[in-house]
Amino acid sequence: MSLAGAEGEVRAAGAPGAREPRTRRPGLRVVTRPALALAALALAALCALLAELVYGPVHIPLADILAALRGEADRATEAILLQIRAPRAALGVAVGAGLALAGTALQGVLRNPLADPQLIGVSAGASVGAVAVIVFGGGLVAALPAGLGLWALPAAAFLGAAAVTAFVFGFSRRAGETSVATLILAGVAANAIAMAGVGAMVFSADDQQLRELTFWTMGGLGAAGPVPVAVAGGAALIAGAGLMRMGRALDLLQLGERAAFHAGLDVERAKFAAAGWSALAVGAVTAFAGPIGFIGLCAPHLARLMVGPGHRAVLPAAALAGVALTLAADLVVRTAVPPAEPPIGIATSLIGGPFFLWLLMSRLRRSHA
Amino acid sequence: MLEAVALTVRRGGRETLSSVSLALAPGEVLAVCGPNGAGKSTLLAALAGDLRPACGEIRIDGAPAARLSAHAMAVRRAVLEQAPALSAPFTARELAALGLVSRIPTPAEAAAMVARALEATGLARLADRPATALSGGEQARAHFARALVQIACGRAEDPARGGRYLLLDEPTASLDLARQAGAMQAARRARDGGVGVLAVLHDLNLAAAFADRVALLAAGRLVAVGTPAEVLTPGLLGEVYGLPISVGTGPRGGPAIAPDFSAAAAT
Repeated sequence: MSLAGAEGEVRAAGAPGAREPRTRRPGLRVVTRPALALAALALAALCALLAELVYGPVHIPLADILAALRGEADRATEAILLQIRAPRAALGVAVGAGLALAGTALQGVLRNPLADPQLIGVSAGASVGAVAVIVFGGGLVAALPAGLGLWALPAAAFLGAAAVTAFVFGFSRRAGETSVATLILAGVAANAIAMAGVGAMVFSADDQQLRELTFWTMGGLGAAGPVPVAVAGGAALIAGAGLMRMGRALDLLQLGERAAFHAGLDVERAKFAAAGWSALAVGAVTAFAGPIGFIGLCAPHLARLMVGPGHRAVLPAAALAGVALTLAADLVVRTAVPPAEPPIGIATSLIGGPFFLWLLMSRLRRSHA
Repeated sequence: MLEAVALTVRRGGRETLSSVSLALAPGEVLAVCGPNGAGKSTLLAALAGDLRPACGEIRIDGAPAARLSAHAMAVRRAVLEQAPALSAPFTARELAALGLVSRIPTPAEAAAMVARALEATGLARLADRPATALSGGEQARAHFARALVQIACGRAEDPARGGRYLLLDEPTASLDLARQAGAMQAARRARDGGVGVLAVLHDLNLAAAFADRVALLAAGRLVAVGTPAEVLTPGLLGEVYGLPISVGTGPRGGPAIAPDFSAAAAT
């Protein structure tokens, strides 16, 4: 928030003082100058991007990458860069930014810091849509003109994601604010139903389809080619632009839905927009990268830690943090046991799972205190 | 005028307001009093545009509120809820800045508007502390500052119709005596600036001391409305609250209300 950035001192929130029952205790707040924090996050994302291009089974020094940009690199280097690593890095950028922005929006609208596209089942909904197209949609996709068939997968993933988002929002509508337990339980239910759907379809799939489907249990950036990157990146870009404009709306929603209306927010429209853009972002990236967990949970928290609670700063910061986290996780799985590539979901869950547990435990401690 | 016209509100099958007509004029403080369950907060919520009434309507300067957008409503009136919630550690300054309902030409102007509201609510020194580290009363004042910013902003956007009404739901609830007076003085300053202030008050003596008019509600009906001296009488109050209430003369000549608590029927 522009007004708050005037002072740059290091500040820790949560100083002793009377606590209102309806107010959450603030977390640690490290940096208060958003511009500086955003620059640091951009630098981290850029470093992760370069590392993604440099490291791998074949090491490509930075100088060779620059040479390739000028068109002076040898053919093998150019092929690795343009056909393998650059699309993969670009898909990673779309995945990181898309999931982080969707997570920020979901956490903001639900006023619940544990909302994550995967935990509450939005990613699973997208998976159901995508798997349905793979298993049953062969005929449909073939029947469509070439240009449209390409969109069947992300469109189905979007519909699945939108259905789950609508379910979760509807669930939280009555009270305006969901308790952590309600949200997680709704997520467990949504995930269980979606996974049963995926399981049923896997059961009826043939061998060729099965190989494609293993991808849907963990996710990864291996499917990156020019077409998936263009579709996922384009959709994530549109959704990201939509979500980036919701800073004030998300800020106002932190006052509660009624007070947000008093301050001039068309609450239903804002919630609809947040749900729609989030479903688009999650659907698009899940269609090509599978369900990748915890990016949507960790990135917004990291962003708030660095720029404070104002969403106009949190949204871009979360997008940058999401990109850095996703690319770093991908780098880890690609270089851990070469030439094998474990799914990226293993790395994000290994970091995100304990983080989630820590968040959950600190919440529970607070509510029992 | 912010008017309730023959307003009937049903909630959960019960009629919480029955055919209430009441008008708030710019430049007055109107206190809404009455026992628990009289419909005070429902009336305030209806005037704020939160509810769809079963019958009747809300009009702001002649325009039906139901047809105004959330933004148009926010430009015309600001609301302070009884227990404002906040689920993010905004600073008092950031919180007050959430009252910037319309685009202010320059960031400096917006910052000055916010600073004036923080000054008016005595929060200038605490402006950059997270609201979650403030006391309950300080938080309430930060939300009040947000409402003042909204009023100022509404005026800047639409000098003819903007920023004219301020609705306060028990603005003194979590405050000590001196701060209760401080909150009501802030409401009066807004009135002096031409704002119509409606405050739901439990404390009849605060109503007597600070209100220009008092509306007395009981069981969803408007029992009386008029100056404090006209409405805060032993007869009316005794009937509405169900215990003997004597009315003397306060330090400044207004009514001083003293209920006889020991005579209340045991419940």
